[in-house]
Amino acid sequence: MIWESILQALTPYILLITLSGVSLGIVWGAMPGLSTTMAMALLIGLSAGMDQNTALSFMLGVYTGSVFGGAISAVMINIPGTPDAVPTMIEGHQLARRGEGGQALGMAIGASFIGNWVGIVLLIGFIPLILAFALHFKSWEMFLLALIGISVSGSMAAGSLPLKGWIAGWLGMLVAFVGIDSIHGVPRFTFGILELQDGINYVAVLIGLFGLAEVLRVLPQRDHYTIPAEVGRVIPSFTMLARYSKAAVRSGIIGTLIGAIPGAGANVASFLAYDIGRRRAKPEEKAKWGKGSYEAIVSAEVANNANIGGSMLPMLALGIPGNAAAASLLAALTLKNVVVGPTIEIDHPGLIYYIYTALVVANILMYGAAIMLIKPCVKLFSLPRGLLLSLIIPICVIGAYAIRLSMFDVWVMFASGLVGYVLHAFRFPTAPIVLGVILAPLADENFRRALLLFEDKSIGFVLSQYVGTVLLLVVAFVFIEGVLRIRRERKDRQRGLN
Amino acid sequence: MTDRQHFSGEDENAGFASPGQDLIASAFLALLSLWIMVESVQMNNPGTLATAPGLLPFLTAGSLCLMAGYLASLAIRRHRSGATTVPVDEQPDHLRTLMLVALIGVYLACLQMISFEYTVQLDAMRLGYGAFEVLTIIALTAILLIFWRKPLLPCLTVSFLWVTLLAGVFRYVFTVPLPGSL
Repeated sequence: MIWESILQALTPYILLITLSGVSLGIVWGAMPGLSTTMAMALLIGLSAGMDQNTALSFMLGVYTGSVFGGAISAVMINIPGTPDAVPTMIEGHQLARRGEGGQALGMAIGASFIGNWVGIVLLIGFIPLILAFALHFKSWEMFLLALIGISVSGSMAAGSLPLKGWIAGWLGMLVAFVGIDSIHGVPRFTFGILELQDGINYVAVLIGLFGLAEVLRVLPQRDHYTIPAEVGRVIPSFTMLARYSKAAVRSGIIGTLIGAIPGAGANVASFLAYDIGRRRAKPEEKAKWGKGSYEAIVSAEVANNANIGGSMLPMLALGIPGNAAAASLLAALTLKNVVVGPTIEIDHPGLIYYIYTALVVANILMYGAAIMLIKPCVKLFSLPRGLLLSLIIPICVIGAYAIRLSMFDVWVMFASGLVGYVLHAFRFPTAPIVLGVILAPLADENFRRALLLFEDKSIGFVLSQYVGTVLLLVVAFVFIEGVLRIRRERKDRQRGLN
Repeated sequence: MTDRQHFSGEDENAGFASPGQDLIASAFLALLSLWIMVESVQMNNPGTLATAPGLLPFLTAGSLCLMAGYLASLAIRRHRSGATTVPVDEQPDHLRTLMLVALIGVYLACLQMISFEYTVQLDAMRLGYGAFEVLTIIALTAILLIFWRKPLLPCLTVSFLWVTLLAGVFRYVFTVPLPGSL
């Protein structure tokens, strides 16, 4: 079964599909204003017409490619293609101005390749442990896990004001309650509208929040970047990479760990690894930091790529996506009736090995495709935003429609886009909404089951469920830490005003 | 980056808005959560309280109401301490955004109401061109004219080629039907 799954990911057709996904991801990630999550959300519609394995390889290819792609525009035009490429932009563009843009990009390719490997190895190493532990989770623990996922996501998404992250997560939960209740079959918040009985399609919400909302926000803005004339030779130097191997391993571990925390994605990973890398750098290297340091590029790029493997860890083992991009992958899997979580190896034998292989294949293809696609990508930068983002609108429409062949879902996507735009204007994060929408059904069903089990029991009995009690303490810690952070932030701001 | 800095979070834009904006948001959230709480209580419950369909929605809305209250209190305190605006990197152009929203809204309404498809039989293959293609080309051309600011012909050409390619991929490669098609 294991070998069969591995070989399936290596058939010529699947390799071609993965290469298409990787190439599309690199080009998409390289375009300023087009994020990884946007790519993943919009392409769920395209994957709807594929079989399970093809869709998985395609989506993993897009994920792997787009995370690296952000580095291209960051280095060449000083605009990060994806938010996590900001540290790479700070360092890489300085190098590009000195005529070392090609070498900086080569280093980013090598670092991304290593980062992906670290993430994959840690994913393979840790998943059996988490699965073995998670198999003992019952309703109470599953409810608390879902609650942790949503609240941690809120905390991580809005750094200075976790309250707004929690509100966003809670709004997502409310969206998910619409539809027929899973225990009694009672309609909830449907108001007699037939289409609402099936619930609100979260893929449409995803496309609206990360696709249309971005178009509404960015398209009306004017272009303001210049295109570089020359890229230079783009070949990763392994001698230089070897010099920064310590930073690479450290950043890989940081990236994977951050990826495993719900809501904390490549953005937090690359900034954290960049910051820790600077503190740990040798004095002569530290002096280059901010003025064009290769070690800084390695730190940031290894971390944001290792994040991919990390984000798959809670998604595959617990059904809790590590970030919005992983949530899109989860959505694509759900469309194929694949339910991930503690019983993944029982329900879908071999799938996990297929995913490992697909990740490895996507990483190897990313390495080659990145070298080939950098120069064409730089040419594509001459495409104005007005053209590029306009072309995304029909993809949003088809993507939302393709899931259930329903115009109602297209309207849901449109409404979600407007909501996403307004939330952005009011400075609310949008990623926790997705976590809320995905995890609320899990929370709802398990919460009520747990209450039934605990109906005649004392508080002492509830607390004697030790895993649940530890998880309950984690929930309390998340909220207390968040409130303390808000207070600290407010005091700092007041001090700043005085 | 400085040695001591705040944790900026995954979404760099997220955080404090102006106190006025935060107050508006909290008022809206409070109203929304109160409405959901009322709806949850009125929900039909065939079982016990433990399995009531409205239980978690009620608790979620209740806690959301508390969060809205906390957000409002923070906004009021910030307003009193003199915080008015929060610097943001981007300068949104609301008029152009509104225009874009209106265009997309009209386009979707047309897509909802108009359905037709012209088909050509080529051996075993049936090629179709329907309401989705026609309406999308018109809408996309209009959007390109406004935001790309090129003459009609390039906008129409790009729009035609892109929509035909996209529709072709979905119709014939992934066999996904398109909206507005019969």
